[in-house]
Amino acid sequence: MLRVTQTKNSLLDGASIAEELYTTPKDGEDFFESLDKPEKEPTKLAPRNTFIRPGVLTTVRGSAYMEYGNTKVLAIVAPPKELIRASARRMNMGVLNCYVNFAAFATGDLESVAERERHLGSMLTKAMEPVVCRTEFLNFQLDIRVLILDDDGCLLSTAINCCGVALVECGISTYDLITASTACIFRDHVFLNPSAKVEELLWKHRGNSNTNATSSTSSVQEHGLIITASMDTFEQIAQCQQCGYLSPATYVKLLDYTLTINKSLRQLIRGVLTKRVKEQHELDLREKAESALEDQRLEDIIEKLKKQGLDEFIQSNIKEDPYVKRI
Amino acid sequence: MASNFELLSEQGLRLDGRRPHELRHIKCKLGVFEQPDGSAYMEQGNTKVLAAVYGPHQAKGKKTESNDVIINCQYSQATFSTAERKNRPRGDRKSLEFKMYLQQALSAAIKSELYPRSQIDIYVEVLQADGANYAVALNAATLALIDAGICLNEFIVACTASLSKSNIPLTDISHFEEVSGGPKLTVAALPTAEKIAFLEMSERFHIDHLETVIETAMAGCREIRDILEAAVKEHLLHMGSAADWARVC
Amino acid sequence: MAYVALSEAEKTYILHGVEDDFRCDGRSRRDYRPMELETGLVSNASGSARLRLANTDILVGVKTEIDVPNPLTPEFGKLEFFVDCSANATPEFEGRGGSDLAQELVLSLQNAYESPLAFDYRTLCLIPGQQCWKLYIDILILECGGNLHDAVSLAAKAALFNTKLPRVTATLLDAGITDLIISDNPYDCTRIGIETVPLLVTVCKIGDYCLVDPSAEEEVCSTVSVVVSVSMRNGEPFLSGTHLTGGGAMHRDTMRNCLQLGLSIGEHLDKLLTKMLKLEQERVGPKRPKTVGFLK
Repeated sequence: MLRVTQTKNSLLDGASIAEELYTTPKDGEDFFESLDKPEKEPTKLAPRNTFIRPGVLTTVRGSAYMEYGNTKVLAIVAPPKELIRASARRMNMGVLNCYVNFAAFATGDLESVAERERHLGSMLTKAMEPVVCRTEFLNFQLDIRVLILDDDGCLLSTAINCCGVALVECGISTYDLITASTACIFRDHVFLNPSAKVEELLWKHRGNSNTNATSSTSSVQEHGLIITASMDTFEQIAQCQQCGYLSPATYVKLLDYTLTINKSLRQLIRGVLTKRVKEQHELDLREKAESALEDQRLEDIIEKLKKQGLDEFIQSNIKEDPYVKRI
Repeated sequence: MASNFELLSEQGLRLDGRRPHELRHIKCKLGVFEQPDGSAYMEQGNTKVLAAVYGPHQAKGKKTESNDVIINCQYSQATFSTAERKNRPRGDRKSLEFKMYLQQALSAAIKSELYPRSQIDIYVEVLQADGANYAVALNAATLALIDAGICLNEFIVACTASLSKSNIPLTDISHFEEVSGGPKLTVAALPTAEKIAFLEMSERFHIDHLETVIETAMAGCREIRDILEAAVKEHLLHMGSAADWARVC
Repeated sequence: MAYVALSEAEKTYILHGVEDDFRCDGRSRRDYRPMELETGLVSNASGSARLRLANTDILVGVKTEIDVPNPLTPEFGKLEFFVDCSANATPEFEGRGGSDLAQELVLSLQNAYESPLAFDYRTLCLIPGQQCWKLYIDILILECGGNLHDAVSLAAKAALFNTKLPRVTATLLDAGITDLIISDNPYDCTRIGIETVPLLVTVCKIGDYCLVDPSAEEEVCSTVSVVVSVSMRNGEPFLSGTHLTGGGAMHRDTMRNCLQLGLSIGEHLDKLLTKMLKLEQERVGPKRPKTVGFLK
């Protein structure tokens, strides 16, 4: 039996090869045929159902959970701690480390998991570095951990969004809110926020994408994927990962699409964070009220004590033990 | 490879056309790189080695307690250096073993009393392996140490020797001769003092031949020492000629 | 990364130099440092190249192996990159110290070579679906003097150009089993087309300006750089894997400018490299070359 050992390109997140050992190149063609293709120039942003919840875990300071369509990601940020490796020290900046882990049930392909985790981790670190004020925790390191529960495309961009929320939740100073999104082009069709199936198609069936192009070399069939993370207050691009084969014009086109998606996502995340702050404020108020009530009760007792004197207070508080018979 | 393979032809020539006592062609150069304190490149036949020396500098980590000099070596072999691709450049048993041997041989040569509480890093990178890797690595390390200006008691050089079926000792054996199954003896020596700092042997031969084989290896060492010394002089002449002080005497 | 400590004054000096388009070593913002390139100097590898870009020293060896192709891409061969940061470059790389940097470089290269349009995997095919070549591109970093991405990609391309695959003929045996006969004649070999093989160009942003080929000192001053992977196809540049690095952010328009700069430099660099490789090939000729190596 043939066994696939080729490592996946972790930029094209979705693929899980080992589950389908018997796929043939033709399956991809069939799938592509069955796919309802978007227009050549997408006008809609193709948003997915999004669910973001900051502060899902009580044991860590900063945590966030995000669902983006079927992609489910959990991010955890712990407060900065002292550098473990002195050699990693940088002149005037703290060190940021991102670790990505797949939940045991999230992937069927066990062989390449460790490598993918490392790749995603290093890419995530690169994306998060610009947003964190690293000058504020000199000689410290900040660890961000991401757990992937389910993977249906846009994995890295969802992880970036989730980490951004978790950072805010933890109270780490950041320069801006970071949002990210993915866009890809395959046989002249632009897919925004591609699903795992599309990403898999792009990666696994790259071989067939230019069957015609070899005969007529003048037209090159572009294919590729872009992940952009941006900070929109000053319209800064924090990271822009591209793979595949794109002409510069297409590259800029895809970049602009992702930037537009990022803007709309930013609105959403901002809303969520404001709500979270309000909620937290309410919680604080309630807690305050409760503690005020408790204070009040204690004060009453003290007041009583003062008025009655000690003996009387004790007498008044003695309750008869019902089990002891009075002689 | 058959173990009874004859290393010497009837005409008394070896597989690569050398005579039994002949060394392979040696080329070397000091100061190949800018960043290290000392560096050297050495080519012995087809075995090519780069060595770099950093230090002496303050000892790092937990090693600071001892009063002696710490000689820290690393032996690594490029993945494309051998005919069969290596998976890891270092960290396997062979390179750890060589690293220890390098440390052992070099600590005999370095004037350790001059460098208390300091550390000297010696990194060796084998670019192409064609037999006698350890010996060439050690020779390159010696040159790099000289380039770094670290005080040595004397040149420390290594040479390999083998014994053919007809009991004729062979100097400086190549990879092909190594795998043909003859014995291999590696000697690291301080040739002027006639001291042996390190000796390793694989396979077997009768003890009667030990002395001749060691003497062959020592002769090889002396010859290499002369070549290295010439290279160092050449290098210094070249370095110093800008100020023209090297030609004074 | 080999880390260079710079004082504020030194940084300001470099910054001002960049602003005046006159860098510390006299270059303009679009200039490269001098390069030395030699191919075919490792005899144990199928192809090799050594590139020295000022103080950056890279040695690349290409090894070949016969493997089974991926069933999804039966006509494709395989490539594998491996980067080793030698401790010769800096003591920080001792043991596993260089693995982070090595991984970053491997990722960039893998990403750039991933598209079949960038590297023609079909030339590595022997029998579709059954046998293919697997190339190991082993990169050894001997000295770090800045701009590793560019140097590594240039050296890798040169090594691929130098790679000779022995000619293979297949004979069909019973039951559809094929037998490969690999030619013994070292001159009977095929080469790999490198026209579209991508080059990485690091465009570094210092102050308000973008420049190429940063030295180690300039890398410390830069906030962010774009690694542009340029692949030339039919005389037009294409992007085959681009990313930001350095821990900073940039505006979209700056990004576009960087891309433009990277593409034009990449185009030029590619032309020059191809020209030099042709010259080198003529110099070497069909005979066994006399290599210079590190003995210069």
